[in-house]
Amino acid sequence: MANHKDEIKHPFNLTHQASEATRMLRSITDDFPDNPEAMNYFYDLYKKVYCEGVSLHENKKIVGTMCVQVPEELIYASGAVPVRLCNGFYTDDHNGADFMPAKSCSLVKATLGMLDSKSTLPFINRLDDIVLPATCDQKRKAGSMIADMGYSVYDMEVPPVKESEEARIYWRRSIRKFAGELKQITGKKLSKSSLKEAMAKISRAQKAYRKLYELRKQKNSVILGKDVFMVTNAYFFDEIESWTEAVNRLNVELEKRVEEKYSAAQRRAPRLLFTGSPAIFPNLKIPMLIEESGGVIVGDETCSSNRMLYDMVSSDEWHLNAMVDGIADNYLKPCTCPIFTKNDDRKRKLLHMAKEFAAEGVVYQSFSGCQVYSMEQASITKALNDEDIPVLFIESDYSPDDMGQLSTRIEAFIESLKAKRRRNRK
Amino acid sequence: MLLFSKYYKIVAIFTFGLLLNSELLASQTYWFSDTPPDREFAKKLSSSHDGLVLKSRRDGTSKLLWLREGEDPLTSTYVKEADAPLILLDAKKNLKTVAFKNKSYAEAIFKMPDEGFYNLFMIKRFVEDNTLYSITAKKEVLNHSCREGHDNIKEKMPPNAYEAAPVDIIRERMPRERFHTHVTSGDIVSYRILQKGKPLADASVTLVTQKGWKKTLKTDENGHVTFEMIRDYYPEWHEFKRRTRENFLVIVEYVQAQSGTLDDMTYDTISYKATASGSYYPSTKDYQSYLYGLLIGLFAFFATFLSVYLYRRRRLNVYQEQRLD
Amino acid sequence: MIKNIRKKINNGDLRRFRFWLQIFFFLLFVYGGYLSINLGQNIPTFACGFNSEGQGATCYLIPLQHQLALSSSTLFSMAGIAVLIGFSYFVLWFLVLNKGWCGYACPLGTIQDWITSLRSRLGIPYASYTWEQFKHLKKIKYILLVLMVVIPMGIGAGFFSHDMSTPFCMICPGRTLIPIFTGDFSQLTIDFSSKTKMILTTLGMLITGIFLAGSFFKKRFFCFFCPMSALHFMLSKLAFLKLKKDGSKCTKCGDCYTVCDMQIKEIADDVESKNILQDDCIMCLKCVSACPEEGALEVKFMGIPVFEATVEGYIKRMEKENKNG
Repeated sequence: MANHKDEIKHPFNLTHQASEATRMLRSITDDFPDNPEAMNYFYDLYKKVYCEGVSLHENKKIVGTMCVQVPEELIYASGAVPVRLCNGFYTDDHNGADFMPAKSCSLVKATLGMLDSKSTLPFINRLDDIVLPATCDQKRKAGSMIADMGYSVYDMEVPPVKESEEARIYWRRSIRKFAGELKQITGKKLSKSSLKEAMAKISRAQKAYRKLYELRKQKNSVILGKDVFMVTNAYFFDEIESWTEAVNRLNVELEKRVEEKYSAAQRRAPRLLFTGSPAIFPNLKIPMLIEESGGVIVGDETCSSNRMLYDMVSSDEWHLNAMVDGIADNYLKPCTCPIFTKNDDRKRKLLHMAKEFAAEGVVYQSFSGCQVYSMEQASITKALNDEDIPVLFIESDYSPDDMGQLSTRIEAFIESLKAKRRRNRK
Repeated sequence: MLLFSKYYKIVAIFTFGLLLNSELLASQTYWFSDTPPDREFAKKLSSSHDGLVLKSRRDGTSKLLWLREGEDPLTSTYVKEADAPLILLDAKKNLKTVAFKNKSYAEAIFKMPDEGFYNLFMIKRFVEDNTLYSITAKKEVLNHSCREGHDNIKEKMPPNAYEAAPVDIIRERMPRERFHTHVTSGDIVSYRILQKGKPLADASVTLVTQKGWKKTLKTDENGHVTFEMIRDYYPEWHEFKRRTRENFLVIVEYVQAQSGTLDDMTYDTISYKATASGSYYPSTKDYQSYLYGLLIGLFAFFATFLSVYLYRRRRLNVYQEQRLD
Repeated sequence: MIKNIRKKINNGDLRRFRFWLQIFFFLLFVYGGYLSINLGQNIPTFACGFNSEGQGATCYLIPLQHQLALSSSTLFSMAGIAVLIGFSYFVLWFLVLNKGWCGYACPLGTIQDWITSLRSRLGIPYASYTWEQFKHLKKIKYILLVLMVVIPMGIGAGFFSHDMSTPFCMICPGRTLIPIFTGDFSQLTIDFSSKTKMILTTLGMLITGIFLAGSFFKKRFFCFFCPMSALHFMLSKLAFLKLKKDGSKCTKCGDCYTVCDMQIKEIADDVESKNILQDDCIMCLKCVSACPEEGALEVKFMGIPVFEATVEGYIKRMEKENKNG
C-alpha cells in the first residue's frame, strides 16, 4: 500500500482548484439574476467543499465510483458512502495530461489528475476503495494507473452489449460479485433490511429529482439548466438525505414560481436539451454559454444528471436476491451510455424527451478525445433531424481557450432556432 | 334359441308361449329391465346416464323397457307377450297411458322430451281363490344429457310418487345425489313404500342383487326400509370394468285382510306384490386408493423440493463452469 | 370528475385490490354452489367442475373435452351447433377480462399466489428459469392444448377408450386440489380400475405433488403449462381488455420485468409492439403498477383507459411497500 493518505501540501483555499471553483461559482451565482433561494444550499455546499476544503461523511467509509453504472444502493447498504469521482476541473485535467495521450478525454484526465494531486476534494485521501466499471477504453485503462497511485481499485465488469440475455446474466453476476467485494471493504454483510433502507433512501432522492424533472416541463422555465446541473452534480458527493431535503425545498420554491407564472429565462427563450459528455462542476462552460446567449436548458440526457437519477428500482419481493437482481437490471438496461454497441435507447430517450419538454433544439457536447460520444453523434443527429429537431454538435474540452469561438456558434444556433420558430408561426 | 350374452352379464333364458295369465301372475315376479334381450338390437341404442336409450332425429330420446319374469336379475326370462295397462308418470308429473308392444318380446317404449325422472308402472289386479292380487311393476328412468347443461338440477332431483298406485316403491335420494350419481356397492339405499300415497308399515321388502343375493326387511311405521348394497362383482384385476352395470330388484310383498268385490268376484284378502328395479355399479372403493395417491403425491412433492434444494446448494459454488476436475 | 377517479385508480394499491378480488372470485367459483350460484359451464378459467358441491361455475375445458369426444357423426350433426354455441359463450366470457381471468379469477392461480406469499413470508427466495429453459417450457402449453383436442376426438372416433375422457382434467392439479376446499378428497386417489385410469391418475398425483412444491419456489409455476392460457392467447386479440405499451416512453428500466411472475422479457425489452400481451401473460397488471413512466403501460377496456402507469402512483406504491414489506 503506497502512501496515498499523504498530508495535503497547501492550505486548501490556496490551491489552483479552489480558485478555479471560486471563479466558476461566482459566475454561476452572479451572472444571472434571481437565482432560487433554495439554490443557496447548493452554492454553499460547493463553496464549502471545493473552496474551503470542508470534509463530508466523517466517520464513514467512502467508496469512490468512476461511472454511473455502480449501484449505489449496495454501497449505502454496506454502510459506506458512494462518492462519484468524475471530475470537471481544468487544473486537474492539466495535471492528468501526464498519464494519458494528448488527445484524451478531459474528464478521465481530470479525474486522474485529481487522484494524483489529492487536493481537489477534501476527503479524497480518505477513499477506502475505488470502483471502476469497465466502460470506455480510457476509463478502463485508468484503473491500473489509479492503482499505481496507491489506491485500492476494484474493476467491475460491464458487458459491452446490453440487449442480450447473456449480458443480463453476466451483469447480474458482476453485481453480486461486487456485493461480495463490498463486504470485504466495509466488513458489513448485506442484509435485507439495510438494502431495503438504502433503496428507500435513493428512491426518496429520485422522487425529489423526478419532481424537479416534472417542473422543468413548464412552459415558463422556472429554473435554469445551469442550476439543475449544480443540483444533480452535488449528488456526486453530498449527504444523500440533506441533498434530498434541499431538492424538496427547491421544488417547493419552484412550484411557487409556477403559480406566480415566473419565468427564469426570457419568455421566448428557445428550449434546449443537453446531451453527450457530462457537464461537471466547474466545467459548466457550455450550459453557461447557452443560457447567457438567451437559450434555456430544459432537460438533459447525461450521466452526471438525468441518466444517474431518473430510473427508479422496484422489487417484487424483499429478498436479497430479488432486490440485488432488480437493482442490477436497473443499472444496465436503461443505461444510455455510448459504450454499448447499440444506441437505439438513447435515440428513443432523446426523441421522447424532446416531445415531453417541447424542446426546440438539442446541444450535443462531446469531449475531444471521447470517441464513443463522437461516434454516436451522426446517428443521433440524424434521428433528431428526421423529427425536425436541429442539433448543435460541440466538441470541446476543459480548457477555456475556445470560449469565444463556442459562444459565436451557440449564439448562431439559438438565433437559428428563433428564426425557425418565426418561420413556423407564419 | 338360447342366447348367452356375456356382454351384459346376463344369462337370458327365454320361455316360450308365456302369457300373463292369472295363475302365473300370482306366483311369479315381474319387473322392468332396460337391458335389451337381443344383443344386435342393443347396437342401435345409445348409452345415456341411466342405461341405453333410443335416439332418433324425429322423436328425440325414447326409453325402451322389457318385461321380465323371475326373482333373480341374472336369470330372469324375457316375457314374450303382455297386455297389462301401463301408466307413465313423466318428468313434469303428468300421467299418460302407454301400451305394450308385443314384437318378439313384450316391450314398452315412451318418449322422454324433458329432463328428469320418468316412472313407468304396470298395474294388474284380479281375484282368485277369494284373494285380490294386486301386482305392480315399476321402473324409474332418468333422462339427462350433459349437452343440455346442469342448471336447475336440484329441483328435479326429488322422486315423484304416483298416488293412485296400489303400492309405490320410492327410492329416496342419497345425500349429495345428482344426475351423475350412481348407486354403487356399499351404498346405503333406502326406500319409502306407499300404499295409495300413504306410508305402508310392516310390509316385507326384499332386495335381490344381480347374482341373486337376497335380504328381506320389514318397513317401519313411516314405510321406510334401508339396505346396504352388497358387492357381488369379483373379477380378476385385469378384467375389472368399473362401468359394469348390474341390476337389482326390490320386491314388496304385503297381505292385508280386507273384503270386497272386483269384476263380480268377491275376496277377503288382498295380496300386494310390487317390484322396482334399479342398477348399481362397483364401488369406487374397490378400485380407488388414497394410500397410493397420497404416496405418489408426496413423493413428487418431496422429490421436487429436494431437487430445488440440491440445485440451489450446487449453485452456491460460483462459476462452476470453471471447475477443472 | 372522471379525471379524479382516474387519478385515484392510477394511484391505487393494485396489490391489495388484486388480493381481495382474487378472494372474491375464489369464493364465487369454489363455494358459489352453496349459494345456488351457477354461472354456467363455459367459464374461461379453472372453476373446477370436479368440485361438484361448491362449484359456482364450470371450467370450459370440461364440456369442451366431453363434446369433442362425441362420436364424429354426432359432432358433425345438429349437436355440433350446440358445441359451437358453448364455444361462443366461452368466447364472450373471455372477451370481457381477456387474460385477466388468469391473474384475477383463476382459483388455481390464486392458490399459487397464496403459496407464493407463504414462501415469501418464510424468507425463501423465488426461483426463475433461465431464458433457454423458459423458451422450451413455454411450448408445453401448446402441446397440451393439441393433446386436449386430439385425444377426446380420438375417443369419439373409437381410437381411445372412454377411460381417457377429459384427459387434461386427469392431469390438472385443479381437479385434485380445488375439491379439497369443500372437503372432497376423493380426487386424491389412484384409480386401479383400468391401466389407462391408473396411469392418468398417477400422472395427476405426480403433477399435483410437483405443482405444490413447484409453485412454492416458482411464482405461478403451473401457468407456464396451462392449455387454457394457450387457448386464451389465440383469442386475445379480440378481447375488450387490453394491455398496451407505448415504447417511445419506455426506458427499459426493467421494473416491470422484475415484478413479472411469468418472467415475460418483452414487457421491458420490446419497444415496438403496441399490444404487449404475450402468451404467458396472466394480466395481473403488476407491471403497470411497477412502471414509473407516465403512460408507458396502459390498460384499456374497449379503448377506454382504465389503469395507467404514472409516476405519482408508482411513488405512492413504493412508499407503501417501503413502509410495510
